[in-house]
Amino acid sequence: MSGAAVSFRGVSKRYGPVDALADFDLEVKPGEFMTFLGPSGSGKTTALNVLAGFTHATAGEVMIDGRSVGGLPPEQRNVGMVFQSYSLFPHMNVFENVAFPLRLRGVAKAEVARRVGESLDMVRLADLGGRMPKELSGGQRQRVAFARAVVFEPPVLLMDEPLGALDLKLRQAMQLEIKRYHAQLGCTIVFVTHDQGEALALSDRIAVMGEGRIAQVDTPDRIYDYPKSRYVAEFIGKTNILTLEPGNAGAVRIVELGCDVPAQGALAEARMISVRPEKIERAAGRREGLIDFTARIDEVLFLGDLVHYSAVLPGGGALLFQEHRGPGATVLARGDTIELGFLLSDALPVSGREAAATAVGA
Amino acid sequence: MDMQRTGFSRFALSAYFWGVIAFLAFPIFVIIPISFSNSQFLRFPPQDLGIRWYETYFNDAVWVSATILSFKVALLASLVATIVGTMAVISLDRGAARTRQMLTYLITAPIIIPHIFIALGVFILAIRFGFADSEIALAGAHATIAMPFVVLIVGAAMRQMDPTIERAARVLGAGPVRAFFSATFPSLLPAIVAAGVFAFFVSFDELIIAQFMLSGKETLPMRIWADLKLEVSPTVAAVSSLLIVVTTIAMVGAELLRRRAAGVRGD
Ligand SMILES: Nc1ncnc2c1ncn2[C@@H]1O[C@H](COP(=O)(O)OP(=O)(O)O)[C@@H](O)[C@H]1O
Ligand SMILES: [Mg+2]
Repeated sequence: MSGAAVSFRGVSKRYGPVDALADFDLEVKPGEFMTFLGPSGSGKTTALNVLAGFTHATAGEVMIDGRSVGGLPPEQRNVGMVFQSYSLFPHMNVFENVAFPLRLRGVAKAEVARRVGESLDMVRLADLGGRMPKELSGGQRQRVAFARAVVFEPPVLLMDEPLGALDLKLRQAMQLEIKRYHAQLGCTIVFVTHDQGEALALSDRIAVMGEGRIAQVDTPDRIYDYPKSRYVAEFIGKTNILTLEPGNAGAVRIVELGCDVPAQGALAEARMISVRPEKIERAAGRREGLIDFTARIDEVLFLGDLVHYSAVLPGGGALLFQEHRGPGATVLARGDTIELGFLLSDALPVSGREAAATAVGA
Repeated sequence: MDMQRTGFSRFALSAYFWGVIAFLAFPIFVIIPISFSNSQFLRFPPQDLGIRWYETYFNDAVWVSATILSFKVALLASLVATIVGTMAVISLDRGAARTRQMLTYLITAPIIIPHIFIALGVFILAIRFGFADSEIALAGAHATIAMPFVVLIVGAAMRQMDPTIERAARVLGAGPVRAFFSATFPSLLPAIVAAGVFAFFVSFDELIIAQFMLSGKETLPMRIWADLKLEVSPTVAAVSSLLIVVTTIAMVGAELLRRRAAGVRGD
């Protein structure tokens, strides 16, 4: 099985006054693992439903493998889908659930048995074919749902928060499983989640969504390292947003730190910068090019090998930073005053709304 | 002090509860013993125990034919009410959310309309269009009063359904009809059967409309009513006891079925 390309071309969906999707443009490459990431209500499910054929777009076009599918009902789109609630047929046993799409396609009996067997093998449930869905655990049900969605080898597989109902540990185990399935099957996967960690771990590319629009599409590392907007920077990981204003000649002023930096390149036009907590370090070493400032430790979150701090800046704002405990490193205590700093090259200009709060993303 | 008040109100509440139960069940405790007497008259407590009046009932052609007629009417009425009611539930479920509430009220309205008005209306129509004294017309009228119960019972089951199950069937390759019958219908079936049993007894018990519509034939409630007016024979007690037992068994069976299905659905 190999994947098919999926395209959204200017797709919009209105529900009364609500724009569930607005001018949604996206090209998913064959075999790609594409994740829609966004908070609840950002239009992820709507985008998936338009692709699956459950919802008709108000405007725009959806294409699978280069062909417009707008006029096709769901049963003719030949896509697999896994739902958050598993959606197994409660009155059919595991085998019959997985065999369902094959029977609809008129596959011969022996072939049905073989392919169901293969699919159940892949999700490691080969022995449970005779069980009813209610006799399975949540993780097992999700595996059955997965086997059922791929048994007919669809070129595109859709997953709407498939791990949302599982507990943390199981979720992490299932993430690895899904990665393995994807490598094994080679189909295109469009995956929906509101969990940024899940998106970063699984995806080839991530489309970060907000209010029915795509905020940014990029690979996980680029989304994390080069968020284009404040919205993306805050949604993916934690970050500090610092405000810029024109400073003395040839410089811009970082308002919260009260210091001037050279207005080079993008910094000259930017109004905000994003600095990740892990890019901030103690400034005792006086590294070349370090922008340093004094802060007072306000909160300490001790995680063993890693320590998260929240510090208060002289201007009153808060700043998040974190340290890996290298050799000889001490742990700071609440109330300590400390010199901190970051490299200007780690400060990323971002666009978006400005706000009074400095430290965000907690 | 507080404890005492709680204790007292709890006692009062449970006394009230059992009082109401006793009041509701009282006729049963009178009727059933009376039906097992061999005496000529309804008398409590019964003397001379026996099953004479049950024999009378089963051997009397008038009683038997009334029972058969009621059975036929109830069967047809419950079939119509169940099919139409279930289809109404499906269309309400698929229809626009805005009008759903309004339409549900409209469809279940016959519950609050007194049967005497329905009887009068159907009677006038029956005379006007020449289907008076037709048991099929009676079954139609019974279907009307039974359908709201079907809509309520099946509608409750429908609301518990996970709508993505049918979507799963669609995306796996089933057309709309096939998806409904393979994904949604099996989960609704217990509720549909329970609703059918309920509808059956709504019709089987109904007296007023039948009284208006039929002149040459008699349903079981009509026969009981006529019997009570004329001679007050203990046969009525025997028939009533049988009805109580059969109804109870059927209703409990239907309710168990519905509950077990609800248990299957919930995960
Ligand atoms: N059937 C619907 N009727 C009205 N509004 C809807 C419907 N489905 C979704 N919406 C609205 O569209 C927006 C996007 O919803 P959705 O796609 O479900 O978001 P997500 O999956 O990202 O949580 C939300 O504001 C939601 O309230
Ligand atoms: Mg959603």
